Amino acid sequence: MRAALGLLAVAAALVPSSRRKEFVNQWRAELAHYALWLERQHEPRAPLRLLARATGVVPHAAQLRLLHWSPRMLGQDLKFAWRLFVRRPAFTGVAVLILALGIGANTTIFSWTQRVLFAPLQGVQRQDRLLAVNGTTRTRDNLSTSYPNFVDLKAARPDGVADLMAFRILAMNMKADDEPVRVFGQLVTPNFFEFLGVTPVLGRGFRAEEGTTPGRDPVAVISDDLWRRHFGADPAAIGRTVSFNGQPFTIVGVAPPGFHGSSAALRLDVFVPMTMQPAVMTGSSRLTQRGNSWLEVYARIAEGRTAADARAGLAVVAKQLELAYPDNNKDRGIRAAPLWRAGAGSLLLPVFGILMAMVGLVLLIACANVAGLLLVRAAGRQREIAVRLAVGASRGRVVRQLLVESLLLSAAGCAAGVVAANWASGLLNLFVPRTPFPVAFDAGLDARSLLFAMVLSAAAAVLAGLVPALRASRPDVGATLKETASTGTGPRGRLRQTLVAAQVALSLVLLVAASLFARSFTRAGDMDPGFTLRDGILAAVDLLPAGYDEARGAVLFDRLVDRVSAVPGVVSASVARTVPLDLSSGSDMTVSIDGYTSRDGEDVNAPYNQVGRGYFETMGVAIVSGRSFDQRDRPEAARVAIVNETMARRYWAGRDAVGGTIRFGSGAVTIIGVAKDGKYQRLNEAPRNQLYLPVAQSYRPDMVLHVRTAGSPAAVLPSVREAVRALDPNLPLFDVRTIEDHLSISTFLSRIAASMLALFGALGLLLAAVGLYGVVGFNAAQRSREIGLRVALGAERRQVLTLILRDAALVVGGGLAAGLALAFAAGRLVASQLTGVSGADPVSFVGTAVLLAAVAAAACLVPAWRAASLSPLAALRRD
Amino acid sequence: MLASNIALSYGAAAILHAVASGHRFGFDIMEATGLTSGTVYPALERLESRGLLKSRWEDEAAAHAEGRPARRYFTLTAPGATALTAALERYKALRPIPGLATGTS
Repeated sequence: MRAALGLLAVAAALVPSSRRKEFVNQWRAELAHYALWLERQHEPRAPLRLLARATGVVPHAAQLRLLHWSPRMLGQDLKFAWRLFVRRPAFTGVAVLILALGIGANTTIFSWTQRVLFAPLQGVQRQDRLLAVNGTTRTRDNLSTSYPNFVDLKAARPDGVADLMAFRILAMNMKADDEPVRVFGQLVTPNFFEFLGVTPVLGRGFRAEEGTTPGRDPVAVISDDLWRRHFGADPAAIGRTVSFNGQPFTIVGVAPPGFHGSSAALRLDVFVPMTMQPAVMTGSSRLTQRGNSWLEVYARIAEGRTAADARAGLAVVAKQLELAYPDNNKDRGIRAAPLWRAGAGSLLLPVFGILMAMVGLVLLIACANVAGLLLVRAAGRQREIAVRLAVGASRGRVVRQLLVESLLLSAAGCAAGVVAANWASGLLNLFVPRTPFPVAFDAGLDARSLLFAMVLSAAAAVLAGLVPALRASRPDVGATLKETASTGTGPRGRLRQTLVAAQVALSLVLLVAASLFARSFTRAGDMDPGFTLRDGILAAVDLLPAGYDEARGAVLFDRLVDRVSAVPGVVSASVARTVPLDLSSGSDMTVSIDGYTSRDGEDVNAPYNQVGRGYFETMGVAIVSGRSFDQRDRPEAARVAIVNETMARRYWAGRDAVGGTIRFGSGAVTIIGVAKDGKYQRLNEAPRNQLYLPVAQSYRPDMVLHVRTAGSPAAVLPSVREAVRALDPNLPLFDVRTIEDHLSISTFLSRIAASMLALFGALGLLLAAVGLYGVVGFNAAQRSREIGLRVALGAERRQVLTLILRDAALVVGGGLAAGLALAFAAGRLVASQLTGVSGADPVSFVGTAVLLAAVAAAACLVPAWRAASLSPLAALRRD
Repeated sequence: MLASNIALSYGAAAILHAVASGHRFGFDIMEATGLTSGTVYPALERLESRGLLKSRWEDEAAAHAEGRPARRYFTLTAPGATALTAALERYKALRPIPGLATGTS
């Protein structure tokens, strides 16, 4: 009972005085009644239950306080605040600008984060109810799904799942009139649009029967964007026949503006029914192969059910599928995760999380800065406030008045910040590297970001305004009215110093983080990715739309490599399926290795790449034993492969990998060489397996031409194009980019983090310097009389300077010490996102501390020097 | 009356319903509705400020006779009864109360 009554006493302080007595009496009666009731129930945890009930006093008191703020009184406060707001434009301008920077920066980063987190797919309804469904084995959880498995899964109507949809991203050559253009699209199941809650604005979506018979329905829906780009927004585009990958399709619909398919951050333009797969993709029909997993699957959670229900329902069906088709589905389960954990989100979120935390610090610095400004202003209004209190205004009334003032400032800051953030939200696209896929993030703020900005500005108003308001309204009325000069070392001066020290500390954290990521970014550029190719060209080639079959295609790749290698300025050339360091996971398979007994449950997983003759020479990957692929490795010759050092070490420990045999689904290959290890997906990945297969024996129609040039790639590019055209005039080169462009993909995330953090760090540093300048100047001015006396009595300027700077040094020193401790903790948090730099990197810590100290010294010296230069007469007369 | 034009939240309706059913003070209302103290007490203040409830203090002497402090009792006003009638139309989970529409409490 005592604890409950204590809580009541605290809450009562919040209640308007006119209602306080009644409030206390009411609760006393209620609690007494409850205590009696508990006693009669012989409740063992009575004190706890009583305290739990007593927590109601807090919202009750808050409610009474709110009801007490009548609109009329609030109007008065606002009117007065507005007058102040416009009467001191310089003060208002600076405070609003500082808050706008803080709120704008936070809203921008939030808009990026929430887009990845909550709404990765533009124009799609209820995305929070979607799950990405992946296959699992004992060791992996991100496998695709085969079409027969998908069909059975959907037909089984898993409990808790409303519907399932499957798709596959596809690059296609579109030929509408003349020149073929490269477009990106999706093969989709016919329920695609209904599933996503998207209705075509022109024409129609897909009919259910358009997903039943392979090859029967060559229809396509295109994006609004493509419709405008290539069809001049002509409604007659509906019904037109265009060719995709050489096959005629009829356009039946146009998707609504802004809708770009079901893959986060990708802009996809063409949607065709899944059953048209054999027409637009190479090889045999995948629609009947249960063992061929190539589809991404989404599930929509049924109304009124939870993600856990849906997962349980899917698991039941997965078990049934395993029992029904043990050949393909043994040990195969299903994982269903929210969309943000699949795809681009999982890559971006760690970086965005760091940015969110750091940008929060910018707002804290901004609030501390504005709080300092408000303290100064309150010092100038001491008389006004004292008079208010003296004529009978309650302290609460004065605090409220001051809070309304800071709320007005932050509301203006919020408005300016939102305008800035709306513009800045599109900046994310500046960081996007040139990738083979059309990556783009939507600009602009949505309702959620706006709400975030408003909540943030309310918090900023309280954060910046509450302490100054409580300070200013302290009821030592008489003292204030009598007081004419302040010493500057009083409590108010100390509070300002603490605020500035906090700004120094927080900006040090920001600067250290910025430095860590900047160094990580440069280190990434210097890191050995395992290949030496730096001057060169990459270009995609797709033989399928050009009408090549496997036999002719293999010959063409051979001739392509010869032709391009002969171009002047080209050192060597080759083709390969994937380019290392593109962040994509590439292809992999489960293999078994002769002479290696896998431990129970261990799958030997081998990511692989199909490469052409001369690949290792062109990339500059050393063959450490055995040989490279050459003319001998023809389609009809014995099947061969090359492994990397990690694989050789793991599975042929103490033996020679060359001559060894690897078996997988479609047969066995003999190892002919071991290649030097490299980085394949990300620069900071751990050493991993890599298997190389010769394209001549493992054909793919879509390959990337790799060209190593002697000098500038740009100079050689026209001749390379000419050589390809001479070989086949109908074979376009797509996604032409330099190696330098490509390598920027791998440093994309560090680049975002380094650039944004540098910006935040600079902002924090500037604000802290301004705050420091203000505090030192203000304190010196407050002590001008003392300084004048000292100088008049014979003190030298140096001594006066020391006097002023001693205080400042304490503030900066305290801030730096606290900042270093905080930065050390922050460094540990971000370490996993760094490449080649530790979270406690001494260069970053010492460097930024020195930089900050230097800027702080400059910010202190200027006002200190000015104060020390004042003639004693002027100093004494001032005031 | 303006207040009765604003639709009641389910929680507010449940509290009015409890008061109309004869539960007159905080503890009793909490027991009847299953709502927490953090919900019930602020809601009672809001409903009183909207004129849907009115409160009075229990007779000191009567309370004293039972050896406990006087309670604050809530009763439904006429606008409160109208609002509750409308709310009962919306929230079928709350059982109708005989004689409510006439505004007796």
